[in-house]
Amino acid sequence: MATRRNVTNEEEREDVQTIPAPNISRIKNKKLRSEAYRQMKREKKKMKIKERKRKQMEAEAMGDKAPPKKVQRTIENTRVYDETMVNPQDEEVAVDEAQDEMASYFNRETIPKILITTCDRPGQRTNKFCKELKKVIPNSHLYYRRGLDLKKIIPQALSRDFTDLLVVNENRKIPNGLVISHLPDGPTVHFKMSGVRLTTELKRAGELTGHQPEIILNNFNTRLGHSVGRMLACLFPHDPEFHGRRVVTFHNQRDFIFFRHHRYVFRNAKKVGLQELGPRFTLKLRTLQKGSFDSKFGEYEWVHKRHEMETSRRKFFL
Amino acid sequence: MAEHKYNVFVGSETGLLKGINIVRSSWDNLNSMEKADREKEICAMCWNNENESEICVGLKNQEIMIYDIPNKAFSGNFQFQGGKEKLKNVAKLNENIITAVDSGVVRVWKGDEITSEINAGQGLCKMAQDKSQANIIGTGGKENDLKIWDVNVPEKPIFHAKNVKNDWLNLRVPIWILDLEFFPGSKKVITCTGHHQVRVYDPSIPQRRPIMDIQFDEYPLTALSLRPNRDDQVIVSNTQGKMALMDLRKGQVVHIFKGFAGGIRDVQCHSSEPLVASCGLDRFLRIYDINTKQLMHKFYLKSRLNCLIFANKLSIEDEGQGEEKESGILKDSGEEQAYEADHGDEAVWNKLKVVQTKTIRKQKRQTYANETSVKVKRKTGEKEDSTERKKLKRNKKTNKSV
Repeated sequence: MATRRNVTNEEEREDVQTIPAPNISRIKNKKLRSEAYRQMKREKKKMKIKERKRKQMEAEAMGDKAPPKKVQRTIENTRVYDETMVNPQDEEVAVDEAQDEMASYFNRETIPKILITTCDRPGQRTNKFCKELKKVIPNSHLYYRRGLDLKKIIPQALSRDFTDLLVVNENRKIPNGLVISHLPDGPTVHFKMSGVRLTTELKRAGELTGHQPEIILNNFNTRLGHSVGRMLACLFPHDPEFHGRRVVTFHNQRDFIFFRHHRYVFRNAKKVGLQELGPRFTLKLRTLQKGSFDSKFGEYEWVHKRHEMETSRRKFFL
Repeated sequence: MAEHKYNVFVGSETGLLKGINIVRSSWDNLNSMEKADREKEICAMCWNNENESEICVGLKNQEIMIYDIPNKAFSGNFQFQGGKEKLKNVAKLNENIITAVDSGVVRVWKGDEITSEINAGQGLCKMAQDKSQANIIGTGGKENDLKIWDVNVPEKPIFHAKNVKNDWLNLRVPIWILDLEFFPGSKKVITCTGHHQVRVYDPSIPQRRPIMDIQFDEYPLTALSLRPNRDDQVIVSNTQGKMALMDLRKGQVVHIFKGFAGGIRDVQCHSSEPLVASCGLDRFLRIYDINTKQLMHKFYLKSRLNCLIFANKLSIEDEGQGEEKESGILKDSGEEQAYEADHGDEAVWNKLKVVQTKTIRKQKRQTYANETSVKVKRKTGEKEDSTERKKLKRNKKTNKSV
């Protein structure tokens, strides 16, 4: 039996005349080879488009019964599981947050008053940026640093009822760091700042009005994110003036916090127009420290340790 | 199992006491959520009795509560007058409770009465009790160097440390003790400071300065714990979330434990198992194996954590009966015990084995002696060679002169 089978197989092989697939890398003339390669690419692309169109047609023909579109896999929706993700029903987190250092703001006991300052001897760009930041944040006061220590500024700020201290740091005359310290004993966060674009550098930037803005905080979902989000919310007063249509956005995506400042307009029932106003910048969290600014002896609640923590591209902390 | 045993107890900043079962990797809040209040932050904990069935919990509002583990309830509490100072530590002395507040007042309470009071000086950060001698306590703090007291003699400390010599700029070295511990079985004390030093003091010798001074990293060292059954290794941790195993003989870091995100508030070693637990501001309780340096367990406990205690009496094996054992080491020891219990006669054979090893040793000794004799011979041979060479040299010299 076995021998017979073999024979039949051989016969079949002889019957089927196989044309070897053209192996482009075997072509020795470079010009011809590259031409053949381009041809192959073109055909592949054509096939792909054809296939996509066919699928589209099929879906249209099926109408409602069509299988749902596949969701694209991104590093955000395949995020590594984080057990500190806050569940809104969580009682303990609610209790913790109701009594934390920012609670007095959220209970409407304090009105934010912000002190903005820079590093010693700031560059022109940093100065301009601070001036714009002053315009964006209501009830904020810009002071020159005058080489004062932050630890000496804090008691002075406290005596003048400031609730937050903002320090813009720079490197090579480009602003690259932001320290926000909540007063009197609130946490201190240190951000890396990048992609600063002033209002003058934005195309078709609008004129700013003095209305109190609305705030949007996007994707601050973990326990750490909650703390940071609450700190950022603390900078702006309650009760936005809605007729000003000003909105400040802190959008967290992949641990980068994007700051944008817009004015919106409802064109009709469906369309909304946006006009960008203030500066643009991106923040990335470096440390969250308990207590007011004390980088040497303060206790850190969270420190970004690059090589130890960044084990996966799909792992995020905020 | 109806009864839920806990291996680790953790006190949090929200005033919640948490019990953690390592084997089941589960945890519970032991007091109700409604009572959670930052004013009742748990500052310190200690065992209330020898068999570890009650915990003494010291709160921020100068209250001490006793948690009864079998009854799962707070059995008693008493308010001690410490003024507005922050409670730093509690300890147990027979039936009495010792409290320490940051103004430096250490009091011994019998019920609601003060039996003795020690003034350890302003800026107290830590009070620790000698485990082998319960009436001996050590205190230290900011600009408040180590003092060792006998509770029965509150007037004068037994030992008063002296600051180290001025630095190379002839400036005074600041003092800031953040944690201290007594070496079990000896009078020595180990401290860690806010200026990232680890120091060992020996009160039994006349020298009042530290007998050892090691530095680790650049941030304040908040907690330390001596490795049990080995007095040459200590685990220290700092405010940036670095926990290191240090060797006290060489004064070097042996290992840095990985995985922390925030500052560590408390570190404790298990008295019999090779486990170390740490808790801190990143709201995680982490338990490492000291031998393998592996992270064994990690619990997210939702609040910032202040202090922890290990249930030493309740061994992890007891808890794990009928369940999967945690680590290979634990399993092995458990099996051995069971084996011994089953085969009582084995002991006799074990003894015989000892004899056998002795004979082996003798053999070894003999072989060793043989080897050494050979070595000696070789050495003498070398000597002979060298003498010959010298002779040759002399000859050469003579030749030259000729």
